[in-house]
Amino acid sequence: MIIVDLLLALTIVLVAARCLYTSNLAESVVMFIVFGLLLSLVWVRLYAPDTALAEVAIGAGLAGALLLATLSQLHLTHAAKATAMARISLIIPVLLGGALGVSLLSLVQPAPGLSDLVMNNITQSGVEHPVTAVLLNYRAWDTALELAILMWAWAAQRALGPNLAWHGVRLQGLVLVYFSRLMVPLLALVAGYVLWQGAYAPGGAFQAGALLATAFILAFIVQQAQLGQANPAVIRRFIHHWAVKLLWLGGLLAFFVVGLAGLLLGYGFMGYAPAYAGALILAIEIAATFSIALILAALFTGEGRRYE
Amino acid sequence: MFLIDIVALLMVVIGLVFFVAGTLGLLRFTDDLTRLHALTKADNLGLGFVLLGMTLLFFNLLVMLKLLLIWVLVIISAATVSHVIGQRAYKQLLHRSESQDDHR
Amino acid sequence: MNEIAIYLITGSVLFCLGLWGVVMREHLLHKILGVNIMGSAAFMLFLAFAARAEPADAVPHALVLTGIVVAISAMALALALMKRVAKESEQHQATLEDSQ
Repeated sequence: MIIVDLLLALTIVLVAARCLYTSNLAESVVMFIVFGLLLSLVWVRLYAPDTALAEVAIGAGLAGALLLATLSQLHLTHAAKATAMARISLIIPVLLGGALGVSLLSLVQPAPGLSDLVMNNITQSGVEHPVTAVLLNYRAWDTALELAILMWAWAAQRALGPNLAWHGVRLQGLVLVYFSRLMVPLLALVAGYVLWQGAYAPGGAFQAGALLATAFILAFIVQQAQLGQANPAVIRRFIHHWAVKLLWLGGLLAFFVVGLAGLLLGYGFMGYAPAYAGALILAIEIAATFSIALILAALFTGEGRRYE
Repeated sequence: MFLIDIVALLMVVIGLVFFVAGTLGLLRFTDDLTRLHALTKADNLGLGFVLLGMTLLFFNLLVMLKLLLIWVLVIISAATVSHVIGQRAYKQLLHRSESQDDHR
Repeated sequence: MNEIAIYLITGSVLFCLGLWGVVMREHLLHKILGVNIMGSAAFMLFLAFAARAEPADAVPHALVLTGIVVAISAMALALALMKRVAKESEQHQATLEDSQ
């Protein structure tokens, strides 16, 4: 297997270098998507299937969609070519990074980290899967604040003013429509499965939220491609409807309601009663999934205000 | 047991050969439509062989069904994506030949 | 040499490559991609260190999972900033041409 690791490492470095080096911006973006896919393979090799799932859906899928949409909105094709100095200086990061990596090698020895603490308390956490236990129980604060960061990113993007117009080519035929009719419900189903599975196996709110966001974005893109620009986008209006916006905040609210309840009942802020921990975690996770999915989709679609 | 491993390995290798052929086509063919043709056809078959090898290795009904689902989904999305890319490429082709006609 | 050593070196090289992209490439898109590659390299170091434990340490996994979602929202914001910059410089260009 060491050969697989070496090949993967070499490929990922070359892809990253090509992504930053090429002056063709479309190639750059495609290389970044490939980078995300290879990265998820690396996560599998490093025994981190949870992050691999999230990386595929977010790092390759959502990031790719965002980048490609930006390219089309700004009519970007080419950047200035790398100057001769930049080209020669490419050797510096490779040498420097290599030296840095070699200096880290003395740390390669068994180190339990916090896994003993995680595993010793897992029976009280309400779930069987250690990563979910860390995310939703031990370090629930981090996860709650991470949902707040998503809201903040949306608010900051909104403050930057109206979205640019889309320049999609209007498609002929109904292939994409039937594709989305098949895939959108399927994506929602798989998101539910991944969410439920998170209690005892790799999966959980983040991966499920990313999948659900992909479903929204797919429906949005298909609508744009089939209808052209003139028609108002139903998906975008649905996501930005005030009642749905309450769901955006659902994850954060669920965290703090449960957290305050724990404080009042004497388990400390964000402490769960052990008997109900599993149910509470599932409730928070469901709310967080919708929050993540809707905000990520809203970051992609924009609000629909346009420059005159 | 040993025989099954060999057959599974053979299937995976055959699949990889198809993948290499498809990638070669993607890199060496000259225009967008033939490239699409090479990519989607060879890769779908290649993935089929790789997954067949995997089912032989695991021999578990649940895993088999999941792998089959993956194959069907990949085929459907490959077909749809190549349809979209093909439309775009064909429009560009028409556009190019029109502008060449104008020059004459 | 085991897989942890390989990915430690890869992560370090990727981090420096991303930094090169941020510093040496002029286009804003290259800079955004460079920052994201640096972030992914940091995740790689995290997970490589987590893999030293048996079974792998779950705390860095959870941190990286959170980090991936934060990284995508930062990228969305960066792209929105880039669009705004493009729009502003376009309008600026237009006003310059009008006054001539």
